[in-house]
Amino acid sequence: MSQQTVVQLVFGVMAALSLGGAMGVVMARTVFVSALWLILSFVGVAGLYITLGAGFLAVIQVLVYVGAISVLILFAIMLTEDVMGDEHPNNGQVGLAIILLTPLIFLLGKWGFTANWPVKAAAILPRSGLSVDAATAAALPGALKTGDAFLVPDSVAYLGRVLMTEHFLAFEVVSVVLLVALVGAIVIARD
Amino acid sequence: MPHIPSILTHFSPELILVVGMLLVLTYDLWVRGREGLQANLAIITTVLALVATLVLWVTMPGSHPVFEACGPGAKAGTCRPGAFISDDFTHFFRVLGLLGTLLVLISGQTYMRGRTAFKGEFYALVLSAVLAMNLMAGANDLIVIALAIEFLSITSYILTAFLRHDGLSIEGGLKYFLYGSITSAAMLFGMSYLLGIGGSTSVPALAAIARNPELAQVQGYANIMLPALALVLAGIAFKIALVPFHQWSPDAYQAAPTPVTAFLSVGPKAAGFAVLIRLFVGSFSSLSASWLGTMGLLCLLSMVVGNVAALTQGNVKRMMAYSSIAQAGYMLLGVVSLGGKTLMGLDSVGAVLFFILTYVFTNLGAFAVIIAVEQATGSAELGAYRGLMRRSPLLAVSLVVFFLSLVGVPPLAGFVAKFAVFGAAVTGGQVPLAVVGVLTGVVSVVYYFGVVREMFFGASEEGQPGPIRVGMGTTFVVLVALLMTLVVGLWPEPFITLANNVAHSIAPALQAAGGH
Repeated sequence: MSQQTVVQLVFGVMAALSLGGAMGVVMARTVFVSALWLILSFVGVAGLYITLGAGFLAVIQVLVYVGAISVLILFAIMLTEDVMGDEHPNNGQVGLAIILLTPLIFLLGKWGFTANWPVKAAAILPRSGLSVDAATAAALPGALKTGDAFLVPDSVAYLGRVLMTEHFLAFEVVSVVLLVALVGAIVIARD
Repeated sequence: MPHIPSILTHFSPELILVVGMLLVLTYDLWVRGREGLQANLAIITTVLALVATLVLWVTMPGSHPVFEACGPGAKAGTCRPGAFISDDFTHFFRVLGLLGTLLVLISGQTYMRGRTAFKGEFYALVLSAVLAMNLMAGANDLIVIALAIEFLSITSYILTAFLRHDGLSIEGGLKYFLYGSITSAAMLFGMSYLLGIGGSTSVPALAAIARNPELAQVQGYANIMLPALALVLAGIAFKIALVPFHQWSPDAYQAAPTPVTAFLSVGPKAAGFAVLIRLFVGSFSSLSASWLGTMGLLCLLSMVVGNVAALTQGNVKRMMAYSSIAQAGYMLLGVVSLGGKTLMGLDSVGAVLFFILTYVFTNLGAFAVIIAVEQATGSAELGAYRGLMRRSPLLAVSLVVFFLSLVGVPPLAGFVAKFAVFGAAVTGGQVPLAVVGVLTGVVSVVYYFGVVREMFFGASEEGQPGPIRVGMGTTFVVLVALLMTLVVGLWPEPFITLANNVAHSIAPALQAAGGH
């Protein structure tokens, strides 16, 4: 088996985990079971990060989402169990949704797989530590120049650098958003 | 002159808002015994941010990127474009958002008094909503755009569900949240396609790629661009409440505390159009073949569904929800009329900006009256307006003026705005949409007149209710809105020039790109 096949196989398994977990979240009969499915979905996403060469993000995903946030969600569910009803919210429109969404997802998938993504090669590069080759640069002039580094090989350092430079504004705004969400949760939940 | 970081100058309105928001939030902790001044603190913060914006606009015109990413050893000219851009276009929407919020804060102050124990939180959330709108106005990076939209959405959900002991309030907030989270996911998916095609989240970088003629040769590019732009459009259309992404809006408008409804009807709409115009017209006008059709469809549906559904509403807040959907449809008509020319050389984008300017004041004026009536009668149902002419001539006459302006009757501001947008549509090759716009505009007379009939000719059942005492704040807001509606209608030249200048700052290449 070539390396490419292994990567594709791992991607398939991880994608199935994250999608299957997400399906479980919305289909489960009780909120508690939904939360358990959510953990599975988080694990799948962590696996996807690994196939993309973002090992650090994968570890963070497991530590924060699988380890901490899931536990928090489970605690919240257990503490509020007696105030929640256990009816299964289902508006009976699953069939209609499937009929409408199947062609859409099929088309998006078909177009996504057949397109010659200009940065298709970029997904493999971070692991090899390579930079843009002449062929990729020629595929879309203006976007990339030969010799540009796609990503630095060490993804933790890269992550830290872009968070403090290119995405500094987003990084700071996120903290305000979290504060507002926290305040909102208290306002809506407290008597 | 010492070097001042651009964050402290060109980002100062936002910094003022953050500081003000934190002060309002912690007000109770550091001031004892003098409660209830959070509203004043919020008003002061908004005024300061407004002054900062005006000073920036006047003293430093032109386009100023903020948060440019230049590494320590970066060569000149290799900096990544700023994630936020402070230009005339940003200033225009900053001023509109801040002015709108100011009017809402002034007219809604007494309404919120006694209705909630969370005063500080309420005003802090309103300030953070303005902050999010300012970020949307200047966002120049897909991540910041997505984050700012999400920020505004989260704030809006909380504000809608703020009076949680009112069962309706929670229901409206939940519906808003469910729709919002799904459209956000769709928008992010679309953005991931854009990132895949362009290799960057920066809007100027993506725009440069979009203008590259060799892009068309990339295999399967058109297949990717169509869904990518359509999905991004869905996320923005949700914020603007365009049909078919509007189902949340009547419920949320009805359920929210009325000052919040007033805010939702102008703030997120204006900010949504800021993102829409910057992204689609300012950056992707060369790709208009991929998005013009989708947007035209949204425009058609919004004008028709908004105006027709408003006919059967018995609640004035719900009616205003559908009316504002229809108004958003007219604004979108200007966006799809690429290359159209109208009044005094105003181009299509300028027509949209001018329309938004008049809409903000007219709609806020109408909502100031709705808030006052709800305070006096405890209801926003049609019946609450019975005999309003006798009970408060000021409110009744002002509401008629605002409604006439929304319909587009000369010589009010709404007439000039509609004339400009329809003119742009006719010259920009959207004649069928313009015809639909005029026809649905005639339909809108019916539902606005339903309220007017109640106010002037409705006979009261339970005797003669006394006159309504109108507070200082409401009177002020109603008079300001009346003044703007009349002045812009009778003397539109300076405002048209303003809109045109702002439009040119965002799309200087529009003339070249338009006409197809």
